[in-house]
Amino acid sequence: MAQKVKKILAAAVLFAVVAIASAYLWHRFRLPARVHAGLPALPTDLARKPAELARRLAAAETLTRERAHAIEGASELGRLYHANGYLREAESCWRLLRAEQSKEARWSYYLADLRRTAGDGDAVASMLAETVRLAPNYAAAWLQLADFELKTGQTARAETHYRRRLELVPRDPYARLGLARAALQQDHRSDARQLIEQIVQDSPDFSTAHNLYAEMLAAEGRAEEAFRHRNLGREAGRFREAEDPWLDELQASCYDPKRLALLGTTAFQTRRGDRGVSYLRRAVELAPDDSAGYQSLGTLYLQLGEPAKAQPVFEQGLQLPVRGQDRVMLTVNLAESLRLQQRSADALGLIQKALLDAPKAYELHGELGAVLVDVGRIDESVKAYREAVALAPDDADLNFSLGSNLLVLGQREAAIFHLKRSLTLQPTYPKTLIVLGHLALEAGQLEEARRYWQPLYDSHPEQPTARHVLALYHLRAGEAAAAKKDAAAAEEHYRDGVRIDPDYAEIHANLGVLYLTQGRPTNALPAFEAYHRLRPKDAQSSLFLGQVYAQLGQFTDARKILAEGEQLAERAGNQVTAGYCREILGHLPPL
Amino acid sequence: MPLPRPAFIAALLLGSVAAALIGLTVSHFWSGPGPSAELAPSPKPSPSPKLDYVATPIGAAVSEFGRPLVTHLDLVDLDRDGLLDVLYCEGQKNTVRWIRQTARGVFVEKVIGESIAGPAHVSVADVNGSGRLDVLVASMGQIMPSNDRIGAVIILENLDNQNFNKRTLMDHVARVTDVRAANLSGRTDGKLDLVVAQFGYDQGETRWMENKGDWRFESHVVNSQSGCVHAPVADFDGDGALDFAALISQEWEEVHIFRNLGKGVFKDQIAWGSTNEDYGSSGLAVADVNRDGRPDLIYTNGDGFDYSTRGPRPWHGMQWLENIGGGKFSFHRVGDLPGAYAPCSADLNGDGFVDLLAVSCFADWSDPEAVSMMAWLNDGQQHFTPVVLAHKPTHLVGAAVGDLDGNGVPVIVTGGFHAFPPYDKMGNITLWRRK
Repeated sequence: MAQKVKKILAAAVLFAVVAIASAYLWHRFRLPARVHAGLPALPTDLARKPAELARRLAAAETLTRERAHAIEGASELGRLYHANGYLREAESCWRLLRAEQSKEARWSYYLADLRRTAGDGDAVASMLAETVRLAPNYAAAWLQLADFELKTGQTARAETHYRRRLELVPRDPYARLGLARAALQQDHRSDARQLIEQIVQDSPDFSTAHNLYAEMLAAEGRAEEAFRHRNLGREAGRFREAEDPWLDELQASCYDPKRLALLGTTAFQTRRGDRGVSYLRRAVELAPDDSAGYQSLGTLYLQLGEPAKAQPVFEQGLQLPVRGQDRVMLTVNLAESLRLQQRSADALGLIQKALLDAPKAYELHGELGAVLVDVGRIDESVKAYREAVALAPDDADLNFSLGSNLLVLGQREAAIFHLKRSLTLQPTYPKTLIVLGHLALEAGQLEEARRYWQPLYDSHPEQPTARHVLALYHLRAGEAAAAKKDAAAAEEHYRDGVRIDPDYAEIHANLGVLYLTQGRPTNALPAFEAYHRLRPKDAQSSLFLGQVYAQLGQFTDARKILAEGEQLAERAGNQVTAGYCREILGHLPPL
Repeated sequence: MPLPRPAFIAALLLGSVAAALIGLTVSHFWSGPGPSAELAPSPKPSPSPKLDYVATPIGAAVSEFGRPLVTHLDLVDLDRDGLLDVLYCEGQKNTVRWIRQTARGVFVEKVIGESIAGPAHVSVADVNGSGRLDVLVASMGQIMPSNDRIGAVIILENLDNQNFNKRTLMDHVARVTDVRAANLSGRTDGKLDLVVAQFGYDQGETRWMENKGDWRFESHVVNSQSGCVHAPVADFDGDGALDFAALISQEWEEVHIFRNLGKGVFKDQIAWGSTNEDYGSSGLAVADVNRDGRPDLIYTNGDGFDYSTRGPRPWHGMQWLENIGGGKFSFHRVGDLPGAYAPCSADLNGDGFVDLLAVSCFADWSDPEAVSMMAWLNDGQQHFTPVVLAHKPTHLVGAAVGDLDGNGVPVIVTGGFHAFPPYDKMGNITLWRRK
């Protein structure tokens, strides 16, 4: 009896093994058919796309017919569709692959991305949940999931998932930002503040944290710190999304020149210039007859400060049979790249020739004006700029260029009209603010100068010129106050001046002199030390510093610095300063 | 008794074949034919049902501007003479203009605000209880991207329905994109507070300004995220106190609701957000789409101002956020429209349901079939059928719908923003009447 049972069991096992093996083999055998049934037909508009895309799609499609490579082919098709804007076709591929390879997290992640594009929140949530279940160490997916939850009001879940991301990417600014925002949603302001401060400290290049922190500080009335963080935020550049290798790897499959141009310019905007060049080069290779690719690549080189690389790109673009605005802009950019290489004569010939074909193109007249300035022909440049402004009266750059060159010709009234026009069009146009401030200063209108320079500094504190001109205002205002015997106001202006531009030697000197005249040598010492540090070859800086050392009883330092000053003054033929140095040295106690 | 050898082999073979057959069958039907190749149906612009409009330019001619830059427009009866007028902001000349309907169908344009840098939004309200409608203007300083603090809140105080006194309530702040008046603080003196959206660029904020009387306002910042585009006002949570919403774009791409808890306290909560940093939020308006008495939000995404390579994105379009009560909203995609701006609502086809409409600024204008104005007709169950209304003028940023003709048939008014090429199909203010 037992033996019979054993036999039945053995037969059953054998039956099951055979059944399972058959099922498996049939499943494998049917793979190409299943893949084909699940794949969409090739798009019908491929004739209008680069041949390379069509070729790769066809190759991938062929692969799907091979049993051993069917999955590989389907995934290649998915990548190609996804990266080249065939989103519905891509979705079919990812759905198919998700069914065939249910343990591969990429497929659900890509589906989440596509459903996100379609605004299908439920599917996004479910695909992201599946992704993190299959690939619990893929940090980008946790961030996506947490962001989705935060933005759909699931704050507690979002917090949990931001923390999971933080475990995978310690000190991650994106996760901390998410946690801070979740805290704000729950009115936990001090927690949010703490998290933002952590990001500012640990990730100083993360602009968003500086920007938010600045507004928090401003709301507390801490204007100076807010200003500093606004500036840090600006210097840190544009927000850029967190690294996402799975989505990034799709871009390698992009063969659409327009998409590549978009990727290239986005890469540049987020300070990934090299990557941008690579995308744009690929766009040109794929569409060598499209002038837009040359325009984008050449412009990127110009933005990266590489006119020598930009020049041949624009030249290639101009060899195409392009007309109209495209031709104008290629010519203008080529002329600019030539000018930047000190080849203004070549640029001039190029622009003059182009103007024969497009006499109404204000861009060409503007560029002609710039070239003529370069070669010192200001009269003619003004004429060119006048033409340009007549054609484009609302262009801030052109109005500034016309105004500044009219100024060179001494036509002050007309110059100021156009300079002010440029400010109407662009209220913080830096070059105009600088020039108008100087004009006001020359006219003795100190407060008018400040009216131009303060907003310049407020907008661009990172620019040395902006700092310098506002400090110059404070220098002059301090001098005016000192002349009126208003020492307190003078001191305030000088101190503001060195705070704004710590490298402004004259302000340090004036501040030091003011302190000395008030009998405050201790206060004067750091001012003169700064002055001497900034002007070590200036005998007067040695004289002032030596004098204050002497007053403070630092005779060794005084002796050394005054001796230096005497030598410098004599070398420069400045007998007066040399004499003062000798006189003070003579009054120092003997060694 | 053991089976004889041939019989055993035969049984084994038969068993194996049976097992294999079962395996094959199970495998075949269990795995099925694979995921269907059929794709989700994509809403395609439909030529039917037909909605035909006749376009009529009104107000200043295109030639006055060269390239008009209409940033926003609204339909209001500014002088309260019973005829709807058109108010608009124009960025080329930095002016606010009033196209007054002096008699039915007769339009006369007048500049009522000059030297307003980068005017971005206009609305009207009797801010100080004078009995006249003042004009509220959001001044960006410049329309194109800038992080500089060049924004201002400007009110054109209505002196006598003809003359307006320009008052700057706030300046040197992050660029202002929207100003609206509302009684947020429960006043009883007829004065109104303000809601202010400040896009800024990398730095911006949302605030409300409490009316302290005599044109003095006290600011209260309620959110410090950059990129606030619009801030429409409504009682979203149904508690009788006015709340406001904010569309916050840039890297955030969110709609926030600021629920009025009373005593000047506003609770900030996210109603919806996209995790696509490039979503391109461009417009937010209030509409009771499903006519349930609760104010819903209609919302376009199609912004392209910040793109160095301008153009459409596959996710641009129209959606509505259904107010499901308690300050909560449910997201519904309505349809695609590359470069979509200016969400509007009206019963366009007269079937009693709320239809939606938007215009486009950043479509692919090299394609002659690119759509510049699109409607979505509501079947009453909030199923929307897209209907193309226009292909030109191109580059439309502003739109509004109202009964300009006084006959109950909605008239559409659009504004052209021609900052980018091509420049061959330009328009300034265009009035669209149904055929």
